[in-house]
Amino acid sequence: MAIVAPGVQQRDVGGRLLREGGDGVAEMPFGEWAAAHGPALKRIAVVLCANESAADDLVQDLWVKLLPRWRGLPEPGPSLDSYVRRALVNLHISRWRRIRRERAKQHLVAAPEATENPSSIDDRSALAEALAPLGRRQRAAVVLRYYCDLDDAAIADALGCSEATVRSQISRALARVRASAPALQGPTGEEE
Amino acid sequence: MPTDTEDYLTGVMRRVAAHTSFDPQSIDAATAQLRRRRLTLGAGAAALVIAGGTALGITVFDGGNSGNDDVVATTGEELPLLTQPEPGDTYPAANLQGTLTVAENQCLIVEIPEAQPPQAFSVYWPFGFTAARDASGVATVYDVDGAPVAREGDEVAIGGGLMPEDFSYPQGDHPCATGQVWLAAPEITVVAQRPSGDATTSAEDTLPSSGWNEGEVGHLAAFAGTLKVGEGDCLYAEHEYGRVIMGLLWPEGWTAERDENGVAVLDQAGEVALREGDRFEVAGAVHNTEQVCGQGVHQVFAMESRPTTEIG
Repeated sequence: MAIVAPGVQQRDVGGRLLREGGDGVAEMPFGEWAAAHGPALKRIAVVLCANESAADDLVQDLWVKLLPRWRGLPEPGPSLDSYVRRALVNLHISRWRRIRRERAKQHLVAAPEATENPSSIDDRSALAEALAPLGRRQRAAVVLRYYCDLDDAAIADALGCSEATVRSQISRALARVRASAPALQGPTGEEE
Repeated sequence: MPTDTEDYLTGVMRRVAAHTSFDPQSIDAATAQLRRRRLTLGAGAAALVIAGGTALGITVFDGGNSGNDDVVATTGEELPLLTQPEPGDTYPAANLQGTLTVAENQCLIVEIPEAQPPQAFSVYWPFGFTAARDASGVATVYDVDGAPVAREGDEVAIGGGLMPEDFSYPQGDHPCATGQVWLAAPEITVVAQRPSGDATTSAEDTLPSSGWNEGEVGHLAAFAGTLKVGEGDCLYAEHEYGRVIMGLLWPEGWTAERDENGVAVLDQAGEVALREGDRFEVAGAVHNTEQVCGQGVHQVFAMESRPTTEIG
């Protein structure tokens, strides 16, 4: 399973291929790896945070966390992907309160950039609204499931919990999302 | 079978993700941030020792350790250093031994004055190394973790080998890439410390700071322990469980003084916030450091809340 994400392929970086079989490129410099995976990680961060600037901060925090440990980390491959995913989620969870405060401030003072596509603003607002009622772990579980398309085991690994907990977190999260958005309840109000 | 809600979440997440962009500069920014933090932490752990001691009327901390473990407070004046862009795995097996010296261009070089003729080598320092002058103006080199490696005047032994003369450094025309350049392996040994008599002292009476001010948002890691005063009146905390030593970075502007009841820590307003022997808890963040009060490899806790003595 790649670190991310729909539409993101493993890339040839500097002439060297990032392989998924655990026999990756041990000597790959951090900068190259980060440049290759940064876009995908940023996309996860944006979805987690539902906020561009908070996502930028989150990704930068991730670099700061990974860089000094780089030599001791697994080679590029599933193990490293798993480690990075866990690090990103943990950073997001630990930054939770700060991000929420920043979001609240930005909501009050910041206007969308004039060049931004109105539909993307709508989507971001819709995402923020959908995720707003979720707790930090529920939000992470939902993003890992419905954006990263990870299975229960991979999500459990990222969140440091059991697969049963993952299932219950996601189930409750969906219920909360539906409760806060009646339009998603469907004609019967019962989906599952 | 996906539900409408699941489809909706997947769709909106993918659309939001599709409209975001990644700035590769964030990688460089993180590297710079990391180096600043390392420098700060290196100085913080040091200041914990020295500022704490001097605040209490004791001149110089002597942790009783030998070698390059002496920690000194920095002025924060960073010195130029030619550093390797990434950690290296293998190095040549040669050895350079000489005196760490600050050249006229402020670069740290290794001199061998007793050689005939005298020789000097620029150094291509390991990844993540930094250098700064301490409070007394003595240049100190720090490793990737912010721990001091060697000080100006130390006799050092550096593994590695000579760089090719025509090597093109990633930094371009770096001022420190002049003459013979020594590719330094990360393991650098202080063979002999700089002559004593110029040990760092500081008139500073503030405690080493985490940079956090009351009212600001901070990290949320919790620490609970007992405030201890070690050798040299060095302030540290002993964790509740087992004898875990934790260095402390205090809220901005806090000070310490000794009165008839022992050592007291004062907040920015001069009110006593903690006393020696108090059990306290505080929120903040943990960082690694090489040494706390001369008691080996431990960690430093950067306080980002006001410590309280009400432990539940």
